[in-house]
Amino acid sequence: MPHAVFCFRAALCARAVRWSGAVASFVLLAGPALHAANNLPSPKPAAKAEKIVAAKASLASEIDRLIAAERLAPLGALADDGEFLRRVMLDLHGIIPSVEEAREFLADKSPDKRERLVDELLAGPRFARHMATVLDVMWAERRGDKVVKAAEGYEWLYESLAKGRPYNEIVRDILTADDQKPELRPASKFFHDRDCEPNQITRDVSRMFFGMDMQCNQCHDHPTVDDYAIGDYYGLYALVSRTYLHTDKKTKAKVIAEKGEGEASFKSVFTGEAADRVVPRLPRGAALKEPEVKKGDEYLVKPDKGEKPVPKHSRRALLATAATDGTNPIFARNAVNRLWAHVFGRGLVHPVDFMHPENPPGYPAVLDRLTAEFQSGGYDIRPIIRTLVLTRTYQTTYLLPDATALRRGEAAKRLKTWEAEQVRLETSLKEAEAAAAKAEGVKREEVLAQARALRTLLRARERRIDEARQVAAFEKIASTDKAGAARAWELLVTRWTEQGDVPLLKPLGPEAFASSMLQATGFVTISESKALATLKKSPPKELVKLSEAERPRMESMWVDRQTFDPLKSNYARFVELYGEATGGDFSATLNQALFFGNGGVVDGWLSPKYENLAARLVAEKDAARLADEMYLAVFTRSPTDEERADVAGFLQGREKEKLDAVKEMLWALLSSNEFRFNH
Amino acid sequence: MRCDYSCQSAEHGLTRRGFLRTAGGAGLGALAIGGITGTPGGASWLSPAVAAEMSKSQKRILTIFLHGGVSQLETWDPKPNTDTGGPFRPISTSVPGIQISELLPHTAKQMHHLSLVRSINTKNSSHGPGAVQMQTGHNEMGAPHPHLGAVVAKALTPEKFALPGHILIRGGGSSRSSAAFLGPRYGSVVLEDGKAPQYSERPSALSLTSDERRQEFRRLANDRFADKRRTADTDAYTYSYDQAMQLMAQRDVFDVAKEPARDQERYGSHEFGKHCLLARRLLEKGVPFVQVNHSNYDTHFENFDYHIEQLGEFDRPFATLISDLAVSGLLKDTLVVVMSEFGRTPKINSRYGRDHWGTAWSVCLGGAGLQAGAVIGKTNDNGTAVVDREIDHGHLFHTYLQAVGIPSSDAFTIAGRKFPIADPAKGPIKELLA
Repeated sequence: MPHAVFCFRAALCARAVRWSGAVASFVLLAGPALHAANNLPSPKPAAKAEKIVAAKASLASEIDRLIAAERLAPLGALADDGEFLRRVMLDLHGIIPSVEEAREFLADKSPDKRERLVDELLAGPRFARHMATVLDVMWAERRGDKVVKAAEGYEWLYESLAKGRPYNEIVRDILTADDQKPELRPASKFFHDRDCEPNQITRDVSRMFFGMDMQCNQCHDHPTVDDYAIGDYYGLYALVSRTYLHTDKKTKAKVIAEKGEGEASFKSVFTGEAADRVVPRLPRGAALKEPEVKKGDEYLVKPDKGEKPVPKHSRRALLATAATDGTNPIFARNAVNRLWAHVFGRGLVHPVDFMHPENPPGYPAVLDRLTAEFQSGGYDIRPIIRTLVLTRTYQTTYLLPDATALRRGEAAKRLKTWEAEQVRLETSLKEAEAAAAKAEGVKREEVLAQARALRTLLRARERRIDEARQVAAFEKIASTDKAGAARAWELLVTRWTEQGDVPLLKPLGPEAFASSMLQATGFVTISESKALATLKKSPPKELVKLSEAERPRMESMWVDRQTFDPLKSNYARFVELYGEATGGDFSATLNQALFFGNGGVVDGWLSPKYENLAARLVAEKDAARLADEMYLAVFTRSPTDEERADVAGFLQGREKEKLDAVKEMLWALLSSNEFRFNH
Repeated sequence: MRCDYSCQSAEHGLTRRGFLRTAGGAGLGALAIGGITGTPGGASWLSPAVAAEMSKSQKRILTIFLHGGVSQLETWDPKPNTDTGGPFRPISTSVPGIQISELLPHTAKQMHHLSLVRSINTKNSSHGPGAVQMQTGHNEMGAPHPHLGAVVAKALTPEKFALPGHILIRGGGSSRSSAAFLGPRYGSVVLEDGKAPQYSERPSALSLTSDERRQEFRRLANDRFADKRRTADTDAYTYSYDQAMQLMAQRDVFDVAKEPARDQERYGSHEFGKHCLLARRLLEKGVPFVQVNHSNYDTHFENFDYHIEQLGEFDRPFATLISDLAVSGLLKDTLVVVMSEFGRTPKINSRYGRDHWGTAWSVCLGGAGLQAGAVIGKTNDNGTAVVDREIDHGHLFHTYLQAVGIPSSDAFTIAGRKFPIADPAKGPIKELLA
């Protein structure tokens, strides 16, 4: 795990000091200074950490360079500190910063504060909390309780991520689907949720872990994706078709079991193409080697008399190994593309489950580079996310660039190079396809893979060429036809938005939306202060007996749980009303708005309680200071002069009903677009 | 200081209307837009007369879902004097040659507005999958498909329409229905027991003035943000709150007690009667999709007694509704469908019940310019099999959609992916689409 200073105690102590109110100006990211002050050993030599930071930072700039070579959209200005802080906290922790965190970060003058912030965010349990939600929604798709409860599945992901387990290990547990071992049972939720039905499993494994939605291929070759063949589907299907739900003789409980025999077969309803004994393989992969099993000798425990069978050779185990052992590039690519989509709001390949040559990544070299990094880094998601959020691309303001920012002549210049490259790619592709037609066996698979890669590059190049022509056309009329140019520019901006070449507005997920409101209104800080006070006064036994090495991490997780467990009950209504349809578009509904306005939940957060935001605002005599505090808490920024005037005007003459006025303004800001979308 | 945006211009609205009129043709473009584009039914730029005209030609669908599975033999496809027929007689209807069960005397008089499909085979006899088939037009397999109401709401709701486009009046039966990939915006707004939507009443602690003040401050904040960045999503989010305010202002729409006393009496004071009158009220306001659930027809015991009771409740309000819609002219633009998750077995079991049966059963439908007084398909003498023009949920779904001008063979494009509107392997019942 080669990155940055992991220091949970730093965070914890920082928080403890800060929230007890003793040292208000304490810098959250004090790092080594804090260790010195508390006489704690620094966990890693500073020099080594710096080197690692430098190495990783250079990967981020390498990504930026690869993007710059392709992107024609002008790069916007650097996001200011408040904008960056809010964005990165929402993406990494699923919650906006508290006013204290915002003040500290804004006041910090050190040049490397963004990097240190990112490392701090990645190290904390809140990263595990948020990523567990993200992965859980991705894989369980909010199915709720079934044989394995939703909370069990979530807790397992949270613990796994908090321990820093790599992505491939987590997926290996899911595909292993062993519901008998207590430590693996939560991971079996994936299979249980789908009743072990082999078609559902095949579809979701190919979609979620290989980025290929092959649902159509159950019955025929894909109607719109030439690259997905019915044989691909059944190669994967063969790995899960022996798995089924077995009813235990005594307990009548449904348990996951597997047979040692049975072959997959298919017949296309379109072409009549058929196969009898499909050889198991991963999508795009070679045939997987299986041990010879003699007929009649398939089982360790035979499925007689209602016994749960145990096969000598498990195809499901073969799937779990082959997919996650680090040798399958598509498996890694899919993960990286989804991490990119999480951070940037859109996959490099989009939709994320339609990876195929006709739907190329916007930046093929970036996807390749990150995939290689992910594989060589042992499938740790943190360094990848770290790289992404430290790119200049990520740190661009959400304001759209205007036409003056365009580098004139650049598109025309690139067009020449790109058109030449297109010709070269076309020739190479033709050669590869001709070679594939002649080749056989493993050699053929190799050449086909080459052809596929070439086709992907060619399509990506064609798209950029088309874009460059559009930019060049705009430049041509820019000075002569003002109205036409304005329209052409609008179309270009639309194109760049659809391509994800300008920053996108990302709606908050339901949990992030609720948590962020609880943060803005001050309830997260109150809950965390309570947890920290308890930890100090009467630390729980299970923490006291831990070793010095283990204790900081467990303490920070304990505090995280104590902070959020009492608040989590608020999520359910938000999930029900704001829970996104999988892979669907953003949806704003009447049901949501009625709930937000009249449901009582949001209103409850706007009443003064302890030292929450409403209490602080009601107590504030000065309208300008009130505005400052409110905008920092809700939007992580200072109000503009106009907005200060809005607030003063709103409060004018309402001294006697100040609480009402404060609640009205708070409600309005929380229901606004600026709050609803991560920008 | 509201922003004045060019996309609220009339062109969008008219394009959309044009699309609806020429439906079946080049509808894909209009439907393919994932976010929000189009425009207003009752928008302020329209003169009242134009708005009234538009809301009149607005197409709508009303489905009445008889939960548990109504018996086709006690309703639309009686088999008198056979081993399966049961004790009831058939009666003549307002259409010469069509007979239905004597349990539906009032409906019989409205038959000239309605048609029957008697040859449905959905090859399923379980409640859950049956409800999915009939309400989504697809078998329950793989990723879920949107409910009929979601599809209709997506395609037919005018852009600045204050009421929800997909309403479920729930008296038992399924709860909130899914819009699947179309997104929760098109999921049903539920009128539980015929009451106004949840949270549509302003809490007593919040005055109207206070609410208006906070809404004004919200708009101000949104306008300031829109100066920096504005997308279809931010517009949709902004509008959802305005829509909520508009809905609250006309909450009376959901109050059936506001209907004339005479009408309340005609529909009856029981739940289903009230719900039918409420449905009429909503259709008159231009709501594109309304579903009324009537429960429960799952008559494994005492099938005949239960059908006397249930259909006794169903018959008069349903017939009154059809008659009212016909008189007001709304039926011209409103498709009405009476459906279940399946029918019931011809074989009468030992407890005088009938069991689940998807092999040969019926649906009643009419309005929206469909051929009236027609009978599609046929079952054999004792109703145990379809003998002519076998139909399933896929065909019905195409038929419903095309009746209201939705090009059902096209696809929705959602988040960059194409989703066929209805099962591409099926088509509509052409002879019903006059």
